[in-house]
Order: sequence, then structure tokens, then C-alpha cells
Amino acid sequence: MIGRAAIAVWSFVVGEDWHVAVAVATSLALTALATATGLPAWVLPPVLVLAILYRSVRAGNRPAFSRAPLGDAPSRNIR
Amino acid sequence: MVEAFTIVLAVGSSRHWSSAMAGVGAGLVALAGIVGVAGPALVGIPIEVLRLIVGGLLLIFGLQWLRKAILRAAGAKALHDELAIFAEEREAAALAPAASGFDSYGFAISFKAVLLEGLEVAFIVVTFGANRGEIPLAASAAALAVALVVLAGLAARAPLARVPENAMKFAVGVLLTTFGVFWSAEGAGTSWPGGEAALAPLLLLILAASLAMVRDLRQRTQTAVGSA
Repeated sequence: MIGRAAIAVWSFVVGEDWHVAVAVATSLALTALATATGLPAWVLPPVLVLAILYRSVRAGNRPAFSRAPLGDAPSRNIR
Repeated sequence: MVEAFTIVLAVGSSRHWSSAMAGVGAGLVALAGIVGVAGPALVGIPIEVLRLIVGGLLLIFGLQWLRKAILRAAGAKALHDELAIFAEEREAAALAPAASGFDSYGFAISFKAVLLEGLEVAFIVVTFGANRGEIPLAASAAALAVALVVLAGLAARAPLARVPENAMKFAVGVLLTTFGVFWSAEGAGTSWPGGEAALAPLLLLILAASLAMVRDLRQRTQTAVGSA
């Protein structure tokens, strides 16, 4: 029961691409580290987040980025 | 909530309205319980820790929304089609065994739709409300939005197919990501130049980058399809 609830919470928050969650946690750790060393760390989060988003979008549509021939049309799931 | 409305409409119109509405009521009570428990629990956490946790969660959640919205806007993922969802749900409801009294199928589908779709709303209410210490205000705004969706649906008496849901989800994804970046960075100990005034350029940056990704992905998809 608890295991199923934990899986449901995980899939609700983290979603399809778990790399995003790991990358966000890493970027926050880097930001905290940069802040602790006295650097203007506010520059880091926007840059890192956009990089994470770009990677996630690429992962979401590999055929367009790999330029491999498409077997099917883009995914047509309704939801 | 538009999708939840579509599902309830499909189930209610093809089976029993009373069971479908009971499912809606139970779903709303469950959502209110989640907000009622999670909200006060979060408010007790020190603000810096809260911003790190809530900002981080908001960022992860927002990036998932924005990713889907970018893929949809670029044509790499099917757009949300309320009429297709309505037809699919009606078909499934018609195939399910008929009930003479209380329709457990209609109840369960409506309850699940309201709870699952509403969880996203509850998450936003709890995170934004806790960060500003204004959970009742955030919950009231969400309740108003739900009421507007229901009123629009009652007026239309059909699935809300003309609501620009994909554009709205794109905008929400940009907003969630912006606030997620802002709060999580503050939680990590960073100060933004200009304080909260930094939110506007941050939002514009994320919006511009997202639109650029849509354009890039659209071109790549067309090239890939063309070369296939």
C-alpha cells in the first residue's frame, strides 16, 4: 500500500523523464555551492534549467534530433 | 480540469448522472483533504527550507509540463482533443456492464478523473499558497477556476473543445518553471538582483527559450519527415 502510494507520488511529480529530477537536484546543489563560495550564483539556475529543458525536449523526440528515418508519424496519444 | 469535465460529461450522459456527480463530490472532498493536510504541514517549515523544497518540486513539475507543451506546440506530440476524449469515454462507458441501482463504474471514473486532474491543481495551490503563506487565498482562486470551468461547460452543454487548453498549459508550464527557478534558487541561498522584480525578465527568458525550442523542434521534425 505504502509502496504503491510512493510510486504514485513519484510518477505524479517526476513524470516520464526522471533525468529532469536528478538534473534539477544537481543544479540546486551547484547553486548552493557557488553561493557558499561567494560567486554571483543567480546566473546559474536559469542557464542550467534551460539546458535541462532542452535535453528533456530532445529526449522526448529523438527521431527529430537523430534525423533517422521515421517509422511512424509523431506519437498520437490523446492524453 | 477541462479534461475532468469532459470525462464526467461523457460518463454522466451515457450512464447515470447521480453516480457520476457522487464521484465528482467524492473527488472534490479528497482534494480538499489533501490541500487541508499538506498546506498547514508545509507552512510550519522554515521559509528557506520551504523555498528549496517547494521551488525544487515546482521546477521539476513545471519542466514536465513545459516539455509536453513544447512537444505539442511543435507537432511532435498529439494535441489535447476534448472531442476525441469525450468520444473515447462514451464508448468505454457504453461497453461497461449496466447497473440497475448505484452505478459504480460511473462513480469510479468520475472520482478518478476529478482526483487525478485535480491533483495538479492541488499541487499548485499548496506550493504557491505555502510559499506566500496564503493557502486559503490560493485555494479560493482554484475553486473559482473550477466554478468557471463548470459554468462554461453548463452553458455549452458539450465538451469544452474550444478552450485553448494547449496554449494555457504552455503558459502554466512557463509560469511554474519561472517560479520554481526563482524560489529554489532563493532556497539554495542565492539573492536575485532586484528581488522579486527579477521574476519578469526570468519569465521572458524562459518564454523566449521555450518558443525557440518549439521553432527548432518543428524545423527538425519537418526535416526528419522530409528525409524519411
